[in-house]
Amino acid sequence: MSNSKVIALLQELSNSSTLPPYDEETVRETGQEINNTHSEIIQLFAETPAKERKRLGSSVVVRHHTIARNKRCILAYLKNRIDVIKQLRWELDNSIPEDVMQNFGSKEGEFLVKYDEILTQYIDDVGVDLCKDLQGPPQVLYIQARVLEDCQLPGDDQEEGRLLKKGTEHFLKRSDVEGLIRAGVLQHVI
Amino acid sequence: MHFEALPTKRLPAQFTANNEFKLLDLILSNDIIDAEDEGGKGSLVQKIKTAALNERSAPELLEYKEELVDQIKQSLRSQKQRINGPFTEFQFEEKLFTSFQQMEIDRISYLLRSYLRSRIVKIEKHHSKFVSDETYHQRLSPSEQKFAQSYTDLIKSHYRESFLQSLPDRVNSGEEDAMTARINLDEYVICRVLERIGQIELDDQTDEFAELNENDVVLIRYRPIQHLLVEGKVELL
Repeated sequence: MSNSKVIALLQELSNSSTLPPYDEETVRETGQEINNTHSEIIQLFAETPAKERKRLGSSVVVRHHTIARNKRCILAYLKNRIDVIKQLRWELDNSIPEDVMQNFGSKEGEFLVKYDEILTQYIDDVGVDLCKDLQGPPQVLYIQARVLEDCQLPGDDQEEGRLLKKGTEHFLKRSDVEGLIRAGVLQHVI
Repeated sequence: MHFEALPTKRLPAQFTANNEFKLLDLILSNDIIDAEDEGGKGSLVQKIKTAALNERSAPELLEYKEELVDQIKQSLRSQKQRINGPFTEFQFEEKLFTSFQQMEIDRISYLLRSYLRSRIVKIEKHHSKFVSDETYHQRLSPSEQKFAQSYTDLIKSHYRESFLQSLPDRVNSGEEDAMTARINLDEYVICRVLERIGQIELDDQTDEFAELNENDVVLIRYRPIQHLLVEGKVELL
C-alpha cells in the first residue's frame, strides 16, 4: 500500500512556501492502486460462494476505506494546488514567473488559462478591477518607486505610456503602478 | 488626510488665513459622493462600508446589493470625470482639492472592490452550493451566476481530467461536492446592535436568551441574528 506516499505528497505541499513541482507519478500510481484495490474487491466477491460472503465483511470494508482515503488525499492535493494557482493569478495577474509555471502540471496550466478567462470575464462584466488594493485600503496617493526593469507607465491620464528607465526613481500615482510593484518591475522606496 | 500627496513646491508664499478659509469652503462644498444622500439613512459611503463589512464577516453569502453597487459606480465615474476635466485655472487650491478627491475615490473604490471580492471568495469556496441550491443561486448577481457556473464546471473538469477519469466507474464520481466547504451558519460573529431589539432566543433546545440593546457589541452565533442582519437591525464587524 502506498498510503504513506500520498501523505508525503500532501506534507510536501503544506510545508512548502511556494508551489512544489506537480507529482504526476504519484497521482498516477495512486490511481493505479485504487484500480487494483477495486479489482481485488470484485475478485473476492467472485471467488466466494454467495452463502459465505458474510465473512468477507472486514476485508471488503478495509479496501473500501483505502479507496476512499486515497481518492480524498489526491483530490485534496489537487484542490490545494489549485488554491495556490488561483492566488498567483490574483496577485500577479498575467506575470507569473517562468520558474513557478514550470512546476505546474499539464492540466494545471490549462486550469490557469481557463480560470483567468472566467475571472477576466467577470471583472469586465462588473467593470471594477478587483485585483487592485489586495493589501488593504490605500493610504497615500503618490509613492516613490525605483525602476528595476525598463517598462512603460500604465494608467489612464496623459502620462500613460511614458518610458521608465531602469535605475531611475520616480514619484508616481500608487494606483497606476501597484501591479508593476507586485510583479517586481518597480520597487517601492520607503 | 494625506499631505504626502500634496505638491508642496507649489505652496504660494502668501498662503494666509484667508486662503485657508477659501480652501475649506471649496472642500466642503464639493463633497459630491456624500451629498447624494437621499434616503437619509446614512450616506452611500456608509452603506457600502457596512455592506463590505457584513459580507466579509458573514459565513453565508448575503443578498446582492445591486442598486447600491450601481449608485457607487455611477458616483465614482462622475467624480473621476470631474477631476480629470480641464482646470480653469491651475491654482494651488484646485490641485490640493483634486488630491483629496482622488484619495476619496481610491478609498471608496477599495470598499467596492472589497465587497465584490468577498463575494467571489465565498462563491469559490462553496461553489457547488450556488449552482444546486435555488435560494443561494438567487442571491447572486447575473455576472456572479455566470461566474459560479463556469467555475464549478472548471473545477469538475479539472478533477476529472487530472485524476478521476483513471478510476473505475463505480468510485469516480460524487466527490466534487465533498471537496467544497460547507456553509457553517453556527459560526461566531461579532456584531453591533443598531436599534433596541430586546430578547432573542439563542437556542431552541436550551431556551437560552440574550438581551440586545442599542449599541451593544456582542460575540454571538450567526444563526440567531441571521434575520436581524437581513432586516438591517444589526451590523457585523
